Amino acid sequence: MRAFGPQQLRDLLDEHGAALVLYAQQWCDTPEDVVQDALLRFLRQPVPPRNTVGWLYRAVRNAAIDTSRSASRRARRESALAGRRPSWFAVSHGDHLDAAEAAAALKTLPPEQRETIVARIWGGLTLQQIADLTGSSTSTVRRRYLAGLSALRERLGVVCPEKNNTINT
Amino acid sequence: MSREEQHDQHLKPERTGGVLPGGRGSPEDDLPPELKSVEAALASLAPRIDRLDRDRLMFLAGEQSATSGRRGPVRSPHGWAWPGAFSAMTAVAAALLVMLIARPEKHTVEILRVPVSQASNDRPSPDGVSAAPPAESGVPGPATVSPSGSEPRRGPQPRTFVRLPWLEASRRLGGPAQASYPCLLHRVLTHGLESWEPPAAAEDSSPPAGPASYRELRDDLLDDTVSASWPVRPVPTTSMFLGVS
Repeated sequence: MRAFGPQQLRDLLDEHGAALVLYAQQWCDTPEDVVQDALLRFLRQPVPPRNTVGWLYRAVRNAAIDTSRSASRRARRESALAGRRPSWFAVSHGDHLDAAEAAAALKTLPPEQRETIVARIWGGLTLQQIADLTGSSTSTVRRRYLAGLSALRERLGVVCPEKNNTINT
Repeated sequence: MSREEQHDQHLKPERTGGVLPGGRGSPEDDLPPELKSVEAALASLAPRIDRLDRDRLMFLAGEQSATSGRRGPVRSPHGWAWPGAFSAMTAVAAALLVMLIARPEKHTVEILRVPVSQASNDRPSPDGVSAAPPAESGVPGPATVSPSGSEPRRGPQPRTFVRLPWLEASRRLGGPAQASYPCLLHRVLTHGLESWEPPAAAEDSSPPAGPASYRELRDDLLDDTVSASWPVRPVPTTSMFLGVS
């Protein structure tokens, strides 16, 4: 007996769909398919997992990594299509940061730091959940998060409103 | 709490304290002020929501639900544990029952005690059991001590005839009336099972070639040096199997 109805699925998409796609985009070029397959696999579970969000992020992560490995032979085509990749963030005039610059800065980060930042900020996962997801300790996740934010601060030139301390790029 | 509320609890991320723009935060993120500003700036960006085809996903989910409904509920991998164990134990029990029914019959030795009259003492024993020497008429039979210890009884004594399965089988196969089992054993062990054939002449009363006793059979099969070291003791032909005193 399915425990997830159509309304619950819509709520899940509204709450976490975009974040899951952004999370999967770190590894593969078809994050939409990865997230879709993960959601369908979630619906096939006979018993819903206790931690729905954690389960979905783990499923998306594993599927995205598998997809990136199988797509390694298409590296040439991927590089040719790099200029035509969809942007990571929705453009809004009220943003403090430029969406394209933020996406470019995120891509320069090491994979572990980028994954931690995306899961923490847009996925809404706690450090403990990220530690369980990546198989690391909480202290390691926190260290990666702080290192990633520091690197982004340097690249994006974010001004600290309290100390008015800006590092010019 | 209804089931929908429980699912909503699973959907909502943990909100325990300081909130970033976008509604996400945690007291465990005790960040320096400069990093908090970076975090807030990044949180102001929203992931694109148009990348996921919601309509197609809902259609596939409904199709999957209809397909699973026809096939039946998807069982978890652990749902087959008990039915599998039950099937395995049932198969084992059935196999044991078949073995019990199809097992070969045990050969039993039936001991018949038949009183024999004086006139039948002259005829030889039909089943090859060594019997007491026939008593002549008028001569009292061997004296035996009754169990009660009273005066010994005289006269015809009941003889013990033992029905031997292998002898019955030999008789059914058309063997001589007085076929020797040690002889048969010697023939089979030396020449194989193919040599075990009923003799051509049923009236052939000549004694079969081969050992007449188990001792002779043992000597024929073993080396002389080995058999010479064995203790020699008189063993009647049939007492090895019968245990008849």
